[in-house]
Amino acid sequence: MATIEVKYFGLIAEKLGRESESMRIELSENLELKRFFENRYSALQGMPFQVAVNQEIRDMIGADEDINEIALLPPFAGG
Amino acid sequence: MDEIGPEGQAMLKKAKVLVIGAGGLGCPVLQYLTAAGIGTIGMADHDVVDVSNLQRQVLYGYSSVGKLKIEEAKKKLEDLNPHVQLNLHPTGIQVENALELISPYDIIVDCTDNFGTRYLINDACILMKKPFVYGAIHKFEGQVSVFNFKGGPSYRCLYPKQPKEGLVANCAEIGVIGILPGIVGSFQANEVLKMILEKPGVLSGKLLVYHSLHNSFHHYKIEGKEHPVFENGKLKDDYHIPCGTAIESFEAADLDSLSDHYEQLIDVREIHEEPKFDNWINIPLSELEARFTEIDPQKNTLVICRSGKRSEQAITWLNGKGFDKLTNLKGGIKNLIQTDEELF
Repeated sequence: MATIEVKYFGLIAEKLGRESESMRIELSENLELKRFFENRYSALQGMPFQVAVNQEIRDMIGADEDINEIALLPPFAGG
Repeated sequence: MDEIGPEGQAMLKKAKVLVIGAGGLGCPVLQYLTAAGIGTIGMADHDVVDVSNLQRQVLYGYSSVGKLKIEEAKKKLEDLNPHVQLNLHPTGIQVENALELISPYDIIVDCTDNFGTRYLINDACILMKKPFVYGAIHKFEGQVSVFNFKGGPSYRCLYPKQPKEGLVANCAEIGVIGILPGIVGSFQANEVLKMILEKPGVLSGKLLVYHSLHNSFHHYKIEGKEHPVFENGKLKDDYHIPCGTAIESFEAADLDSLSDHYEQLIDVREIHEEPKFDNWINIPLSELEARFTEIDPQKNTLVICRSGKRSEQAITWLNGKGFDKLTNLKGGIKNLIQTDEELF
């Protein structure tokens, strides 16, 4: 188990009612983070968003990776 | 400034930049690019100024309300810098004109307010090998990036698939703090100048996320992925570009007045909805895509449903098919036949 800072943006922060939280995550080889968060929070199901790991947009992580931060980034439409 | 000098000023003068969307983001982008002395600036937007825009679209005032945004913008910008060539593209960007529209320009600036247009700009820029500066806002937060710059990632590398409509609301629906597009648009203009002046640090391969409440900046690295395949070098046709222009509406006093004012009456209620009228053409909204050719585009047409909502949807869709003589019956027919409620 690793304790990871998770950041939420835009509509996701609104839906979850928080902009960040510390989360203990069981990291396993090829864990799909988008699916992991959708399972954890049903409010995220069907919502478009992208995951960033250690400030890099990507969905998969390795088991032995040192992860400090995950961010959930929904697209913004406004202009 | 030494870092720019006469040589830099000449580079700006030579540059051609297309700004798509003359709203919250477009206003500061247009102002700063004009002030900087960009040689040619194109403005593409088909929208008119609404009083609710004034809180964030600072090129416009009360005297602009109801007028075409880019024409109003041109008046201000010409005064700001008369040496800039300002091209107006009042059709905005559509699938049909996208490639031709962006072709003469070096850099495209995405200041739009909906996903359909953002994906269309992205794909058109990939096909035409043009870089584009992306900016988008949500309430207190903004995103900025430069896509398709010197083979760098595109918007689809960040968000591969266009979200379904209705999943993410736009500014007009959810609101946005008025200063935010000013800040985000200024970042976009800054990237444009960096690209023209060949300065380092262009925001390519990175997403900048700004939060105006915390004054926080985050950068996220974007990996390039393979571009989507465009058959025969053509754009897709499923971007679902919203119409944007205000839909004209007609407030009727009674049923008889409808045929007095309009040559063609299109009823988009479903088959089972009563009452039906002889001189109305019933094309249910659910069948519109299959049957829209039954509508004569040359005739002044009133589109009708029960409450005025579905008829508005129908008009938006038909506008995308080139119909431009459509008016919505405001409030639908339920207001005109209140006495016989059981009919509905």
